[in-house]
Amino acid sequence: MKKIKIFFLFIKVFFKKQIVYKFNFWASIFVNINSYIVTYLGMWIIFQNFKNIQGWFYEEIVFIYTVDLLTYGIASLIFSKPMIRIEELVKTGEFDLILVRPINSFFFLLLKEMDFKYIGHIILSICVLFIDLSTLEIKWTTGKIIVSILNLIGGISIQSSFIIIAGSLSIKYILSASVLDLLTYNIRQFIHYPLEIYNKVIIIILTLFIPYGFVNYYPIKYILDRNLTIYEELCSKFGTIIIAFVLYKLTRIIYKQMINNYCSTGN
Amino acid sequence: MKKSRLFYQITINTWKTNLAYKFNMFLEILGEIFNFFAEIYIWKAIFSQDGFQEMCTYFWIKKCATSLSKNIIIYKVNQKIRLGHIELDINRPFSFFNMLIMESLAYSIFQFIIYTCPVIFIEMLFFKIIIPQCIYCIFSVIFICLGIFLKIFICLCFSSISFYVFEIGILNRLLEDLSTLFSGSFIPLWLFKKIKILYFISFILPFKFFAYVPSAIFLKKYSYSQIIILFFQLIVYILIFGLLSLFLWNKAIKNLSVNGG
Repeated sequence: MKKIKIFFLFIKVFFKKQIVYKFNFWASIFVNINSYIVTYLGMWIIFQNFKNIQGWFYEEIVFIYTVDLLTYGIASLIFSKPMIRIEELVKTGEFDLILVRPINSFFFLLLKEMDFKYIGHIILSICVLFIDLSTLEIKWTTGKIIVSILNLIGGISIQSSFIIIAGSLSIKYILSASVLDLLTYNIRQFIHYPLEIYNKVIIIILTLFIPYGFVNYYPIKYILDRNLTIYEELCSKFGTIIIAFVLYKLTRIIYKQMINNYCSTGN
Repeated sequence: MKKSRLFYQITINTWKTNLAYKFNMFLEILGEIFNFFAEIYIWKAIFSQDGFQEMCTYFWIKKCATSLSKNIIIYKVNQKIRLGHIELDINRPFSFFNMLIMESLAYSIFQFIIYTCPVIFIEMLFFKIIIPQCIYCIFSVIFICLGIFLKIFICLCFSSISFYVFEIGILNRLLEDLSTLFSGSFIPLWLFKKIKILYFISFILPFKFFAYVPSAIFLKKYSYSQIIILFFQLIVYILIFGLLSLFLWNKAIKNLSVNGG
């Protein structure tokens, strides 16, 4: 109850802050939307010249891309800015202030560094998802709906885990921006297209070691009724939620470890 | 002679600054390699066997051209104005405008050697590329070099807006997005042919000189007469943006008032 009260208090303060820089707030959302529109436009141009990419059609690729964008948008809305900021907070010694407050340090960090610019990702991806789903003609069953909801939650959790792990490493090693870029831009871009177009080594990495494939590729293969091996069927139905749970536990351990090993640099 | 010594010193400083965080640099190189594999496998899936070698070559030249034309002029000028440091730079005994151009060139060379060379080396190791006649290689290099200057002048024009607008990051991002789409660094512009309006816009805008034109020349997509027309078009763009940036910059400096620093 106390946490909810604090949460709403921070939300109030956050919106008051945003009113001061109204243009900046709306412009940053617009710019984010514009960047992704360019990507969608690029995909559309490619498919004006080619019918499909290894059996995957335009609407299916857009579905894959949009699920990634939606899950990433939601995860980033909550975690990205606070995790990026850790690096600077540690450097300036401000992180000490967060740790000595009578409230959970992680919760306080999230509230303190709240940033709504990722809302553009969510708005755009929801709009595209609605349009895309109406053209895809998926035969929805109860099983598929349940799997979709669970996978969406799992996808958000997987994306969040990677963001938090990158941020947590900064508490000790002060390099969140580079690790975060590597994980959320460079490696994540592999899941903008179906994994089967890549080399087997890349597929194994994205399935077992950095399991981004569970965010969209495996669940979507099941939803679109594509040919699945027994292994892929298991991955598609239950893989995302299991991986999400494992990563959640791992993230908690890493964050706690980093906090325990934190040495203040002073200010 | 004095200017070349200054440029040498700026290059050394840029290298020292950027080499300071070695682990970050290593992660960025790794990121570039991941970007390369992600992109090349997408093109491999799209083109299968037909035209994939051509696409590998396109990627090779495009990567060199885009990394060399990369600069942080807009961000840098905006930061200097916001923090008030611009006052110090203007009062120095050499032109800040020329200094920005030199810094930008030094930054491009750094980006190319540290981040792009490993990628193009890996590409040559794993994928075959087409090497055309020497004359096309020379034309391509000339267009890449002139493209760097065009990008610098366009960025200088946009950076002079920083003198009037507090936050220019948004405008910078819009310019980058436009440039990504219409320079051919995202998709080769020959794929635009089916969408006439986009093809026309890409033809009019100067962004195609940052990546597409050098790559297309290397791939012999243009005849000699077309290359000459493109060369004059590029020179005209450089003159327009060069003069415009100089005019806007001088006007902005004249009206500048610094509040502290």
